[in-house]
Amino acid sequence: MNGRYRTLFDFGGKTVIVTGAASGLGREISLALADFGADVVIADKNAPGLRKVAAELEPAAASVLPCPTDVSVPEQVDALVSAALGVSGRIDALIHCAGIGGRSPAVSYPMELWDEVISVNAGGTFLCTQAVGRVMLEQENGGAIVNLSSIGGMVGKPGSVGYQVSKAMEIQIAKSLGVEWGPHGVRVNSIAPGLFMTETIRAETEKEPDVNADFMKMLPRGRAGELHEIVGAALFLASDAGSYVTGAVIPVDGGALAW
Amino acid sequence: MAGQYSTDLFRLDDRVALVTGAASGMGLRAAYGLADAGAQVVAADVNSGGLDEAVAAMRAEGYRVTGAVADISDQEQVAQMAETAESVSGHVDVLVNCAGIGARGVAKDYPLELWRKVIHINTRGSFLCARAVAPGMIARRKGSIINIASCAAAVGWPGSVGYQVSKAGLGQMSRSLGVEWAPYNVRVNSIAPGSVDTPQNQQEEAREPEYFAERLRRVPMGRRAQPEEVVGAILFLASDASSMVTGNLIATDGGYIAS
Repeated sequence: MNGRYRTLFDFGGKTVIVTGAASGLGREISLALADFGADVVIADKNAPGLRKVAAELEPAAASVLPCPTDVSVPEQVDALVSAALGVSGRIDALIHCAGIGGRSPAVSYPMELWDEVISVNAGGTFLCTQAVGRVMLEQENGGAIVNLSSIGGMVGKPGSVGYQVSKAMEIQIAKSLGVEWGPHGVRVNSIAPGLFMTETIRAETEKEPDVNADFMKMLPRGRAGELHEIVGAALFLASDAGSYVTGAVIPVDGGALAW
Repeated sequence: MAGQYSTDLFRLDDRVALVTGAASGMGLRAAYGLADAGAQVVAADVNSGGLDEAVAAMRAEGYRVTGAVADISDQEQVAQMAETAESVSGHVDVLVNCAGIGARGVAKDYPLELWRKVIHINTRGSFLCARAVAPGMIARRKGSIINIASCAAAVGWPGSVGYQVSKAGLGQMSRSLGVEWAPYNVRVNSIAPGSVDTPQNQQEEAREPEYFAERLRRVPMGRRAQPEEVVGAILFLASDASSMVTGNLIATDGGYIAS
């Protein structure tokens, strides 16, 4: 039995979809999957950004397929799944990172922003999960779905109620469908990142220096996460290493929730 | 210090409590409970016939209650409802967001119309109601908002992903708003009932007896809650007995989440 664990995190011969792959955590996870030998299907609304990331992945990945996709549009999600199926006839994992922010005080929170953030974040997560789930439920050995939520979906922070509600919904999608699809070998889990220095957060911090100050004080590690620090949890949940884990939420937050 | 605590701690004399979904089930029990604690109750429901009956029955028993017909998914009707409540004696002290719908369906085929509808009513509708009464509460530095969520705000089960996501959103809304409005002494909490013996659930059980039997098998206390068994938690959260409790979720579920 020597060496049986050496391939635990292997993605050789596996087709993996990553949404929100043009930037931030989605891009970083795509880079990692390429290094681990996956056939990577990358999706994002931002087509030029997606092409750039595809070029970055080319040297390492078994194959790369960029699919410009708005995850809140059912037809576009269906097209993404069809394209992914074209790679090897199956989809082994979906890592759903696409999402938007939505900051505003609750008393004046615009209902248009509420509707948009819930439609894109929770609706988009469900659309992608449902479309990929339909494939995984029918194929041998099921599959793994990972969505990136936020610790903002588990605790409250002032100033972004709609965003936080949408992230709690994403976490519940993992719990509901982890249970519903568990008997069929389709695992659904969520990663709840804390504060990560993505381009979005960097821009936000430059515009409003105090916006994340309180958050920073909550962090036992005393710093925001670097992008590469999300990769481990995503590879764990998407690979055979996580074969008995479903309906779970893993915070990757520098200890913020535990403190 | 003997006698420092009396049952008055849970009294709601001189308070006005607005209850949505008050024509039947838990909402109606909540209306009775709040009135018994001394509150003036404004009972709201979309079902005008049922509401008239409920209000007439309560009045016949000597309770002070005002009816307000409102569809919580309609912003104008919500504003009208809040105005009616304010007009009773110039302030709304308690809001119980009890209005909501169920939405069963397997995830693989879950209709997106149903997904949108259940989130629109259960989560968005409750947000509209909270926001309609919040400005007054914030101005007076006093208020308690109670959202009737579900165990689905914490765990998952098969066959109703949209419903569960809507309730998880509601749980998160309580945390977000609880934190955001804490400086104004406006408290926001949610209650997670397990399986409750409501007319809505009885209808569903008649359609799917096996599903409900399985759910019941997982409840440590081995029985469903009666609607009145949620009232204790509502009175605790509505009154000064919970003056330091906000952003919290209280399970009244026979031990379901804990197991």
